[in-house]
Amino acid sequence: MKRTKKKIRKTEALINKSQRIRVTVLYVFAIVAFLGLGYRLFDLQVMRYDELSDKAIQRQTRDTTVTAQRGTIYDRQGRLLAMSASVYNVVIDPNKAMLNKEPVEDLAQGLADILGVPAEEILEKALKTDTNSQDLKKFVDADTEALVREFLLKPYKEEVVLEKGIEKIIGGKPQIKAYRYQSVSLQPTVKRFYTSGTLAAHIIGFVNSENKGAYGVEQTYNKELSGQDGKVISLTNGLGDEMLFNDYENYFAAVTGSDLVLTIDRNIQQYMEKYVAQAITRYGVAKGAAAIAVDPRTNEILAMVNYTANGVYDPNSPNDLPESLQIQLDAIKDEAQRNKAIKDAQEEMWKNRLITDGYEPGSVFKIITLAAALEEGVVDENTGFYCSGSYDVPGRPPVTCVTAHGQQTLAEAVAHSCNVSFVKMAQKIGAAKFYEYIRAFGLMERTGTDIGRDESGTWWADSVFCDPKNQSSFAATAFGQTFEITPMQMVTAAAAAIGGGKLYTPHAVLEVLSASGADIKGDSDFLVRQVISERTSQRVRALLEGVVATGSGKQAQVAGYKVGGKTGTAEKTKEQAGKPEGTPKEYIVSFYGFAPTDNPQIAILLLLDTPSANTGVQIYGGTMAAPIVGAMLADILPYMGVEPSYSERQLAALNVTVPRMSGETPDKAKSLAEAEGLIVNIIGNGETVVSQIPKAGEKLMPGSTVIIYTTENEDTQKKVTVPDVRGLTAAKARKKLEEAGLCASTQGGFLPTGSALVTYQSVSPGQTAYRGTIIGVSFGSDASSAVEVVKN
Amino acid sequence: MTEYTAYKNNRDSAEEQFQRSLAENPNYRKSDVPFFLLSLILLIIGLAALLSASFVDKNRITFDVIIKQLVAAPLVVVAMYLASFIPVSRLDKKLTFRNLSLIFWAVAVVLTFLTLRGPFSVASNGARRWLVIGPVRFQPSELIKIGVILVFADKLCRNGRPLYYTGEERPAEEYTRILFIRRIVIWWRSFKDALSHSPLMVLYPIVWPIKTFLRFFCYTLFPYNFVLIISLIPLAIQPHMSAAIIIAAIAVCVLIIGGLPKKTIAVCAVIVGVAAAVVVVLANNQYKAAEERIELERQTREPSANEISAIYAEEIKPYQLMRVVFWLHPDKDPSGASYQTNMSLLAIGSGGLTGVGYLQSRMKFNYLPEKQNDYVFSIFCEETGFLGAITVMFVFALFVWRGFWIARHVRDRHTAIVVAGIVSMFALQILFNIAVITNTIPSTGISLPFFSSGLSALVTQLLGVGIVLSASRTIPEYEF
Repeated sequence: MKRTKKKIRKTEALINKSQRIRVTVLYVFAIVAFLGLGYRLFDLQVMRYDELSDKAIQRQTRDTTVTAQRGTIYDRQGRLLAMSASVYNVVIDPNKAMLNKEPVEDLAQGLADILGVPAEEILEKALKTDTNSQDLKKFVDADTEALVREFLLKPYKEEVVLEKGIEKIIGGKPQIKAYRYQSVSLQPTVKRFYTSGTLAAHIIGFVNSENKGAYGVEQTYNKELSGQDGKVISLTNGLGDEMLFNDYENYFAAVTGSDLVLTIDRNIQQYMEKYVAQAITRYGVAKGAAAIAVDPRTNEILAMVNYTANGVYDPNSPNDLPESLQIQLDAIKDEAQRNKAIKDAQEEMWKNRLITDGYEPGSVFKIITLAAALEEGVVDENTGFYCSGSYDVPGRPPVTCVTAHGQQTLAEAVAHSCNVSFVKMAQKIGAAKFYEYIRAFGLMERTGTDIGRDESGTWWADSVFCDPKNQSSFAATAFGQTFEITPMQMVTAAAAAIGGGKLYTPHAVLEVLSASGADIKGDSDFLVRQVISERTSQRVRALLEGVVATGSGKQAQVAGYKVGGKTGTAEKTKEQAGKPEGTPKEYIVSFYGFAPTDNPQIAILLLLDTPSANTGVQIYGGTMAAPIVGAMLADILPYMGVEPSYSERQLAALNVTVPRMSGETPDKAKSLAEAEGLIVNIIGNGETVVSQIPKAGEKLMPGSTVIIYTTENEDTQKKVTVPDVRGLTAAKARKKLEEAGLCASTQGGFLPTGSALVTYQSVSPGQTAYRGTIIGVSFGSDASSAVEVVKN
Repeated sequence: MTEYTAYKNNRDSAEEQFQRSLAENPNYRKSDVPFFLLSLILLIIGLAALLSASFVDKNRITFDVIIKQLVAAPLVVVAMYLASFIPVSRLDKKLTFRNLSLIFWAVAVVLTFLTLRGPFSVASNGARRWLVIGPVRFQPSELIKIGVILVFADKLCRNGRPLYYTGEERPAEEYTRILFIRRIVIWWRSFKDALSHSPLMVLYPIVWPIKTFLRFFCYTLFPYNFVLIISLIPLAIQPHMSAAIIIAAIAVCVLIIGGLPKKTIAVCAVIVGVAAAVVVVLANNQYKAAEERIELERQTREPSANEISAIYAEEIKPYQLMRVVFWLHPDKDPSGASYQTNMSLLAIGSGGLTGVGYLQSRMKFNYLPEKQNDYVFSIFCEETGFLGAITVMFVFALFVWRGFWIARHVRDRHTAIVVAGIVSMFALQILFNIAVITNTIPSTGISLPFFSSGLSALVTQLLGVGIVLSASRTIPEYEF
């Protein structure tokens, strides 16, 4: 019994022990597995946290770029030149439309009404199902955008559906499923608007398809203008919709770009463009014309005209070539060639030749020679020059003049633009010194202007230039040949010579206005160096005044203003070189003018590239370019508010005296009046003139109408209301007054020429006056009133 | 004396033991409090996690899933507590789990067969796993798990002897005690003897182990295999591979506890290991073939993501191998075959150390499919981070430990096997689920006990807990 009991216990223990061990082993396995998975979790959650959470965030978020508004560009008076506006592109995903089985015909019809695009065109794009994106319309405004959105939100089909799966068996609630167009999206973007179209296109430049500035200040100041793009990071769910309880929106605000205030004056630019265009037609200029206006005291660019042979581009659509050229290029068969030709033509059109293309300045360069000679003191106003018509220089054929000028003073030599005298002048300076002056005037380096990347001139090396045995380049340089500089360099150097002797970097931006404040650069920021003294500069001005007053630039004279200048006619040797004998020579005629000479406020360089020889005008700077510059100055100077100072004779010409016509025959009276420059309006058919309006001896504007009566009348006793003629030009003011039965006479300061506008009338508008009363009007250049006219 | 004969002499020892223990401690003791508390804690954490994971779908707030679970949970807990009063195995009671085991299993299997065809069958996502009776949906395959455990345990004890190799008497005790080298010498001698009888005996070393194993497998293990195969047939038809795998694994665990010879375990482990290696090699070869095709495609033009998915699907056959392929290469086809895995990894990884905060998960917004079922723990990991996840894993480990502790301390063999089987069921599901969501093993749809939604699973799990609690009542007080 005892034995059995022991046995049982032993067996029991054996079985339980084996089982316990097995349970323990299973538990150990489980624990090992738990530890392994714990480590796996540690690896995923702690070690690989950065990698995985980044990936998760990337999947969960959607970045939407908020394009920064590009800065606005103003002219120096605060007038708008370029601005950006938010617009939308309407885009369709044809593939999605196909997959969603959207009724594209209805879609096309619906959108056609809103967008104003033919439905067929939309349908055609919507059926390109192998693509994922087709632009239906670009740059639609916010109003259209709202309409499109409304259209897209409206369901095109509704359907009652039962819930699927198990709900269906248990009996789910019926739901209405609405189908909406999901293939069309509105993508926000910005568009640049250039409010003045082609005006000043080469200074402003344009914005390319990537919204980056190309050419002009748009390019130079791209960083400042473009600001900083912002973005919105928002969470989406796995289906791509906005996530519920989405408090994770991260908004990085866009920083609006800085605004630019240019030194450009839109009105001056407009005057200049008008006259350059006139010059092109009048002289048949073949290869484009260009002009720069700067303030010579600081070298601020006031205006810059660049009519290329390919025309002027509109920055609103910079890729469009002139129609005739486009047709011509489209005719090229080979596609690669055609594309290249179009690209070249566009680049030619966009290029600002005033800063990139070198030219031989010709006689205009004599300003620099003169300034250097005066500064060195090797000549003065009393120095005499003798010109026999030709002058031998070692190493080249003799320097010639058009005629033998004989014995001249310095002023006469300058006025005659006498090559011989200038070569002698340069020889007095000496080649090395002269070379130094050229360098000092900044002609051998880039000007560093901010309207684009400019080029430096092409010069002889100093060893060649200063070779005493071969003075060919040195001598020719004295009158502006055998080297090339850009027009911008010429203007900059000339501005230093006449504007006080200081060389400034030419610049087109006055202020950069950012949200944090204005960055206004002072003149000293642009100062390069003092080249000549203030006094010398004054002497140069006086001598150049003579050129316009008596010399080759006579045609640039402007009544009431002292204008200085220098003509230039340069033969294009480089282009000529490859051409066969007998082809007509090509010239660049130019004129450099500035006014007023005692304190120059504006300096203009005009270039006419290859004018026609068949216009009856001689191809000379003095005959072609000078009158154009004169006309420009006549408009611009009053606009700028430069006080005119008239001579007695000029003042006397302001008004004419009405002759006594009573008692004369009408024919006699008419001839008397026309002799004074008046127009006669005869009323009645009597034999003798009974009365006249206005009375004899009154002063009237030239071109006014005088009424003479051959029968008795009561007209002078009638009263009329005086109209408002302020802000009108002389001719318009006179016409308006005459229509009201009044007469006009000029009073006071300004000449009623060009752009001058009426600023004052002797009888206030709205008052009554007898018929024939003479209303005195005075002119000025009130800028604000001037704008009105220029806009027309 | 051999183990076998010892057991034979004491075939009723289980009953005897139990009666003795009852005699010593006549009253029911309280059930195991730590195990009860641990399961409640896990249930509460699980419900909280499920609430967070399931309350939003397609930008719509929905409490459908959690409400069902929340309404059912208290009822099931009460049922569990009541079930814990049913003894696991007692000779003096009629109503015991042991007595119910066969009928329980049979009902479960019949119900599972009913899912395949007939008025209560319903197809969902290309599979017939549900039994629909009016408003009640039920997945009877869950019940099979418990049924198999009960039937196996019953059979293992009813047999009256441990699992053994048919026809093999255990060698004398003296033999087991001699040196290993000496054993080889004895074996070699008997081999030479056998050769002298017939030269065919040269095959003996190869044939013998196979013969013995097959005989063991077909005779001794026949009832177990039979039960298991009958259980798995409806699951194979449904199809519900993951449930089949889990049930097979549970069955193996029960057999191991029941005394499956170590040799067999070793052989099975080797076979499984070799099979796994073969599968991996096969999958990798097919993957390489698919990659080559994609590379070829790339030379003409870049194929789209859909096209790449299609190429993988064409090249990798049978399609089950895809899971192995994309387990090895989770970075391939991220929007197709490995989308789920990738999303789960991103969810877990973006949790970091402390998580994004409760209810703050972002991957639940239609990124992670099955977020309320198999991948609920991924969302939990994202929200509570490594600290939360490891804490829950620690509680799970404690739960498993306490379950095994009860299995070790119960008084009779049958109860011990049942408890250990049920705890293995929990452990297997927990480990498989976490291994799947962390891409440690190829993905398969195994739910996480207490966390995943599903009333059938909840009922099964709490029934399991109830059985373990009932078993714990037989442990003498001093052992606590």
